[in-house]
Amino acid sequence: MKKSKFNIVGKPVIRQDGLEKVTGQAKFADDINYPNQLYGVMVRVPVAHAKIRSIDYSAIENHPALTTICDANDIPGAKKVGPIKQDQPIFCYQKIVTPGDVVAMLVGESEEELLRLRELVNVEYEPLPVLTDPRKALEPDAPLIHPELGSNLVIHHPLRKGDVEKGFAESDYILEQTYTTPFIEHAYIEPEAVIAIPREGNKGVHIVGSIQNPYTTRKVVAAVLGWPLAKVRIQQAELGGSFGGKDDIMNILSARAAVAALKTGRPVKIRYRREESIQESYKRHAYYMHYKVGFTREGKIKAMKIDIIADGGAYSSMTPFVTWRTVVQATGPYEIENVWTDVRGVYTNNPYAGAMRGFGSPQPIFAQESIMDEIAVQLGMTPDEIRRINGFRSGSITATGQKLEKHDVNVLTVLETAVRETDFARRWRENQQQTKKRLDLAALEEAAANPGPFILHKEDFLEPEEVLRKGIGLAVSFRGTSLGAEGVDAVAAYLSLQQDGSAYLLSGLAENGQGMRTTYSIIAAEVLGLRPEDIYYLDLDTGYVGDSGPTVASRATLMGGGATKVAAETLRQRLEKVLRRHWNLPETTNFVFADRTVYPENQPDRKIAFAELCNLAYWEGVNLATIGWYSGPKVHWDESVGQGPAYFTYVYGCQVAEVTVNLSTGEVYVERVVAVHDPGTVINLLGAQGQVYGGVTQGAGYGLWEEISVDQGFIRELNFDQYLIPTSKDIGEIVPIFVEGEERYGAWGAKSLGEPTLELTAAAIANAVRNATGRRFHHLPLNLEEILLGRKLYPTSKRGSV
Amino acid sequence: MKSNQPLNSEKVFRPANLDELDALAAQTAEGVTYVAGATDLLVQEERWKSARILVDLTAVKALHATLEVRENGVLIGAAVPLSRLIRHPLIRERLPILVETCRQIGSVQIQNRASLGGNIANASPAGDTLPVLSVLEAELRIGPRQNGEFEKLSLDQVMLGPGQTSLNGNRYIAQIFIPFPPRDAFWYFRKVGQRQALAISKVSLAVLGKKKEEKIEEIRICPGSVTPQIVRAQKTESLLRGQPLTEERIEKARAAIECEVSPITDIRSTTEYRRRITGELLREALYLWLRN
Repeated sequence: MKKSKFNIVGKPVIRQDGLEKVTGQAKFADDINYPNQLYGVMVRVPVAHAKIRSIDYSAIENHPALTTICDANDIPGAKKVGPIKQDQPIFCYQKIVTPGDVVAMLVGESEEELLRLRELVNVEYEPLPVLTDPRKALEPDAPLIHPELGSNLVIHHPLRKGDVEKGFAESDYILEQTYTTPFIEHAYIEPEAVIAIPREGNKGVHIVGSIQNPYTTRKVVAAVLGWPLAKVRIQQAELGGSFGGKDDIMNILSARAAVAALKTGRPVKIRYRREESIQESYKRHAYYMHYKVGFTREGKIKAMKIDIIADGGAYSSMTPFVTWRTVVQATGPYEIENVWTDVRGVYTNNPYAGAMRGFGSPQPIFAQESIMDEIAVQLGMTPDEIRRINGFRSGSITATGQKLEKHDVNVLTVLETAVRETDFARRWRENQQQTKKRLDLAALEEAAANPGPFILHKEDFLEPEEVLRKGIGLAVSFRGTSLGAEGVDAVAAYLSLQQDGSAYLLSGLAENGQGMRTTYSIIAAEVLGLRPEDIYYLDLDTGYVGDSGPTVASRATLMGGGATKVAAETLRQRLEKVLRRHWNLPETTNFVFADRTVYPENQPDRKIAFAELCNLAYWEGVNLATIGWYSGPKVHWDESVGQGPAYFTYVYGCQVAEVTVNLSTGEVYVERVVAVHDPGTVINLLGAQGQVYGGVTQGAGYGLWEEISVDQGFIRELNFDQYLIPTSKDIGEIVPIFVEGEERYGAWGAKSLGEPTLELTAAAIANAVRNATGRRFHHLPLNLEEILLGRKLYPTSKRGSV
Repeated sequence: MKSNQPLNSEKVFRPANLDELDALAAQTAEGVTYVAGATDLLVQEERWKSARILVDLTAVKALHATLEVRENGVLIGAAVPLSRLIRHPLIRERLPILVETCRQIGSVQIQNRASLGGNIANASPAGDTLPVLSVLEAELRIGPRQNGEFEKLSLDQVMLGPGQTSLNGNRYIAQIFIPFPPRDAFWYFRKVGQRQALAISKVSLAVLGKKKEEKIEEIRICPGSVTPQIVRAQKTESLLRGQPLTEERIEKARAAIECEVSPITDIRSTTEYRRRITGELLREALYLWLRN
């Protein structure tokens, strides 16, 4: 193993910010208060689609609790914002397009009073027809969400490779199926909170908040204020979870707070309750996916045709990029000669959808891995066999025409590791042979519909022990690392050594709970022979280091790790130069930096303490601070046919889920998940394991429980009593296994892990449920009703049982 | 409720003993909200903010500390935390059905605060202990005392429907007496929620039974979450009572209970799922009985 060459990298290191977080000392945005601070409270209209006629504040205007009101008229700069298309108003002034929309913000000292006053704002509106089914969004008579755009189409990504018709003609079998996945909520534990503080004179505005991407927030706030970027300073408070969710919503809340702060000259805080958070924040896209696949008797896939509609909801947000990842990865990690894919993102009056951990991959993985298992069943193969036949190898060509090379293409390695670890094929076959006797669903349905005594015969009895069925299922994926052809991909890291050998470190990427500060500290410590605790990580502020883009796409370790390593190596070279001069050694001398000491490679006894060396350099006037910069290699993309090297490298994963299904209640217990991932080099073993535990649990939530269901644009599940995420009791053992493939990029080949861990679990569980029950479920989540009745039952809003 | 002072509440009281509690009750005829662990109340902001008078029962030993094991049953203070019941050796031995139910409620943190009295007073058809108290034929002791005596009522005299109890004005649940079932009694409790912890039941079922010479001598069946009031499935019980337990009988009982319950569709589940699962749970229970 290559790990042996490292002192710290790959070992388990406790998070730097762990103690303050578990002891409640960490300061989150809502823990921070300023003297003279005001609060902002939103005014909404209970309608999904309407034209605004007028907003009448006369009933509250003179109320003493009201300091001011902000609406679209108070915005000096851009009235609408958005990462790709600027279609989302800070305050709505023409139309309401979804119930989360905000028309105005009341500002005052007491939130309680403002909450009462907002009921008295009178908004006159003209209701418009509501569009909730994305499959109808492109019909000619569909209501237009943004009429000025002329269509409800946000984006269309076509991909054309080979000749699918020829591929289907060469196939012995063709399978066709439709799959759906729901909107889901990020469910970060800390709801949105932000404070804008006006600065004196011409210094601009300072914003502190629960912000995932401070540089993006800065762009939006500056645009809304009509100010230069440098006049807006964004500082990240400790962040209580994000999962991709504290981007657009926090940009908009920051802009609202800034507008109010400048209007009143006082600090303004906005903080959401859970209901408001779920109502207004964006979701993971609901997908409608049609897959058609042709394959030979031997199991070789000849052609795949995919048609996907992504429900983007009311605003475009990240829909073009989310669906772009989908089009690149929709065929899965399989070499297929003929592919025809269309992914369309559309507008509806549903809550808008944007970035969420996974970013366009969990949906197609559910579809693609389900259909792979169906192919296996049809051909009498095991799921691992069919994947072995079609899986990528070194030199394989992806659906986008990219050759996979110059790194370990480990699809089959992770698959074999997972299969071996779980004795997969044998157990899968055994489960397939379980008694085929099942509940006569039709008879039961009829009985339930027509209550009255009915008699079952002896052969209909399901013995209690037959009710619990074991299942095992697997899913594999490949994932393009970082942003790919989405945009600029470069990161800064500031490293400053002090006279005593301690150090400051700060990257332009944000600590969003993933443990990134510790990862970077390990990298710097490894290069300089320090311990991670010698490195003091600074608070992120857009004023300190260069714009490093957003902290998304599992790019922090890869890109920021690369930048940190560059910075540490730069300073190490400066120190080596000082030491050569000091000890009068030739230019060719190599040094070892370890255990807070430095010595020439061939003279281990001639040691100098790292602190002493820093002191030496300090008195020589050597610059001990630097900014490391790491930028990704160029990628390119032909939009018209969806071809090109989409990402500069890939990671691979395989998860096996073991479940027990209770056929009489529909309950699914996740007994064990074995998660094998190739993230490249593991920097912090504890951090990597943490990503797997969290990702698998979140992925199981997607598979079994989580759904934001929408009724005429209105979200039913507005709090965690109805929106159920998994607890520690809902999931059994999680076994993380890392296969560390060779890679040229990043720090020592450290790539991505965050999203791969969560994108596979739902698909693996669905395949395990199929193995247990003999039935295939096409619609996430596989909740009790889906398993038992084969369909979702949406409860009414009646609180019959408090 | 950091400050102990809800916004609209006029007063918060914490009587130190039963006499103080009854004296307080005598002075305030209306609008009293009694609180033990407050696990249901605190998460309903509107409700605690609109409460006019809050009375914290956790200092009244008779309610918060009473756990008297007698020969024929146990007397439990209405405000005793569920985790004390779960840990109590004699309750574990004689009332395993109650212990199992308490274990399945919420989470450990909730079990450390929640109480039987709170579960009853909250009057949710999804209250997990209610079907169990019903099959155990628990007797509720209601204060304030009249002539030094609590009034004795059964569960169905107190819990009238969703959020509705007969405890008007200043009345409170003081204690609960639970008679011990025979040591060889069969018991079953199961709740089905969407997940394993912190889930409100979609359906639950409590069964207590006793066989004599291969025939069912006594059986009590009570579903939860499927009826507005907690009522035993008496028709299904009578179908089983006095009969030998056979597979055919089990299937008949299942069909019977599916007809007998009239579940509603609400935010947690639907009629269709609830009716079906009530039958499935009864079948599971009776098969377990048949097999052991």
